[in-house]
Amino acid sequence: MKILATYNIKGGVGKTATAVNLAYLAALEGARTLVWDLDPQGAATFYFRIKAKVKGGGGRLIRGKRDLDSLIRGTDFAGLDLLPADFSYRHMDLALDRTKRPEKRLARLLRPLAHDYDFIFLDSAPSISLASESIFAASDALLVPTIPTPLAMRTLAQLRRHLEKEGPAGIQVLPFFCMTDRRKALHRQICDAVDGRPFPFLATEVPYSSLVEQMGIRRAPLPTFARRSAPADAYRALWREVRQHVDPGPDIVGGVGSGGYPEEVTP
Amino acid sequence: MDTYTRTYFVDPPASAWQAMQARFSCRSGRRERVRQTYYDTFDWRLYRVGATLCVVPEGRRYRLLWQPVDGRQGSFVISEAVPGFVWDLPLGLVRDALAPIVEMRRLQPVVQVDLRRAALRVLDHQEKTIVRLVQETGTAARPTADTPRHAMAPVLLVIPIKGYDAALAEVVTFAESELGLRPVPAGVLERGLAAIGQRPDDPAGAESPVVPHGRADQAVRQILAALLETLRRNEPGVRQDIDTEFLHDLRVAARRGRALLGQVKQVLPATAAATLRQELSWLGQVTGPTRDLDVHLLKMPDYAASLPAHLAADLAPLGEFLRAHRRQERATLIAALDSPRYHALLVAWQALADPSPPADTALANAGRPIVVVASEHVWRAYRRVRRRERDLGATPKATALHRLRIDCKKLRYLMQFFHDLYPREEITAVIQPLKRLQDNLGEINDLQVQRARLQEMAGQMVAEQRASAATLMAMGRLVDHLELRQMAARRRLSKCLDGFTTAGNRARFRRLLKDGGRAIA
Repeated sequence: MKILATYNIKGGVGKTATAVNLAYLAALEGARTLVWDLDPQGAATFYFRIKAKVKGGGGRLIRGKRDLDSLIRGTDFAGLDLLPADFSYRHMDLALDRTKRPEKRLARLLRPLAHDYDFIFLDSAPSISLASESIFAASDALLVPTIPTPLAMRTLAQLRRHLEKEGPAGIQVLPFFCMTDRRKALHRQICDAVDGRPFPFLATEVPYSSLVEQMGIRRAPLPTFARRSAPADAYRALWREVRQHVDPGPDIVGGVGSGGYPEEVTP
Repeated sequence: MDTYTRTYFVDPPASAWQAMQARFSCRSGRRERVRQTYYDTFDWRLYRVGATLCVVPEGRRYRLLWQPVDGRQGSFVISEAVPGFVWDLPLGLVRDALAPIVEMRRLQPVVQVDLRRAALRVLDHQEKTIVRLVQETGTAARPTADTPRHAMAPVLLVIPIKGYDAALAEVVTFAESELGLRPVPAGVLERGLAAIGQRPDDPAGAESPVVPHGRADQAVRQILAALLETLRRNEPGVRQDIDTEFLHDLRVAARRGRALLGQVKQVLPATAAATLRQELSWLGQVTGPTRDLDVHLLKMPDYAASLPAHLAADLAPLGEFLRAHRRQERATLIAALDSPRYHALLVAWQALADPSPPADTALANAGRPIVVVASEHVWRAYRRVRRRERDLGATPKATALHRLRIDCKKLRYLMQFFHDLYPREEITAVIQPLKRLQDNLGEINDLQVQRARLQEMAGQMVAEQRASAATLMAMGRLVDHLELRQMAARRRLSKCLDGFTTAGNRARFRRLLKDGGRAIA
């Protein structure tokens, strides 16, 4: 099992779209995949048409009082499951603070799922807090969608300093440019200036596209309704690249029980 | 309600489909066509453990889907080639799972199915899928080219979605109570095999039981017929060189036939039996060298593993030597199988396996009940093993152990032939300690033979200029290692002998054969 977190201190940069689309592509390959929607806004949960509600509330879940497995819901796509968001996740820091070794909490909660999933995507809320510490400690890699602006690059440098000082050892940070618009000189300039970046970037750029916003109307992963589009191609390329950095092993334990593939449904 | 996929036969498929659509809020999902080829070994090793290996082409590569016993988690791996031998598969979970089951056998296609699937999604008020329905129709064909396709029984699958148990219960109740559908356990493989009229036969269970009160000659002919059938079934695999087990099984059938003809006297015409015995001995000889090389080749990974890692590569020339000689020996073997002599052997064997012997036979044992004749012969073979074992002494010589091994083997064969004549529990109880002894003797002998052959081959390799000093050194270390293993096996011998000669085991043999044969008769 490999745990991937989509993370950025800033909001509105495409974290949820990344988590949902890459998780879908992982499941399409046959990997048993889980998305844990840790954002109280519940956008990933909404995209999958699932009720944003955790029985007993997020606090009990974080304290380990509820069996994670019983809260998981299957999405419309075979091999792709979701642990829904709950509005109470806005108090995640408080809930974590009440536990022993809060920074290890999420890793501990996820451990029983190690044999059930090949990939777990954590879709985090924008912040840098106790919750993000716990996400860093649980993850094998951080996927950091970054809009090519000077401010975003500065934020990334902040993240680097923070991880150097307090981050868990061995975590891979995989930033990539998203919402890029090559017509803008600034975007071109930042995307092409390789030197001086706080982290090496993945090669794939996800271009700005209104199709990403349409995910909220379609309530489905982008490749299901715009399979042949620039952003769908970009997400596929991104997933191939991520897979090279985070490999769950030579063969995936796929959900092949009914002798078929994950079904790609076009809503 | 248990959350597993349910399969229902539906004929015609459309009626259940329409009923589901009328009852639940549904939306049509994707339609797909899939070509799947199922693989198994000649002796259905995967089928017999309830597993499947299904191959789906994916571009220029293949997706190998492994499903262990139903309900357990399956896995898959992408491979550059279709499956053959386990050691050629990509490393990983699939290979690890297959290796102990398949061993040295080749995976071959058994049935190819073309499936058409139509999906129906049962939705909740958010239009979220809560149960998946799949209608599956298809055709199946034997995997050889240009064979006719046969329709498979159409089915409806009800596939649960995690966390939506109530919805599943509702759909299943509707399907079973209102539509009257009954779940069937048949998977795609079973339905495919049924469509092409193929039944996975179990070679081990193919022989029909010998009846205790039947005439001895009838029973012996029946056993000979089954052995001949085994030989014939394996011959094509030997010719095509599919895997090494075909030759092994062919040789075992011939050896068992020879043992039967040699052990059971006054049942079949003596001259014909003696001639066939002689010819089977010839068959053993002409097939021996290839088998010998097969065994070494199969042991190569073990050989390499028994050396320190940096020396393992030095053994590579040995592998090349074995393969080169195997090609030569196989040519001789195939020529033997093509010879009039082999054809005559089959004809002679068939004549002795003929179920209708002349009624006026003068042979003393021919008309007696088989259970009596068998018990006498098995008892005699058992006494011979006991005598040999008593004569072994404290430090038995290799030749004495070899003779004991041969006699044990004859006893074991006889007991296997006539297994069905005796109460199952009792015969199993006496076979177990015999098997342990035989395994131990076999191991001692195999290691002895391997050592001697490796030394001999080292000489040959030098003569053929195939061996460097490094290779010879590695082979030397290997021989030493085999000697250590042989010594360890010999240390276990006394324990195995003790197990065989306990008072309890001796009494069981006596009861079963000396008294039991009479009692059953």
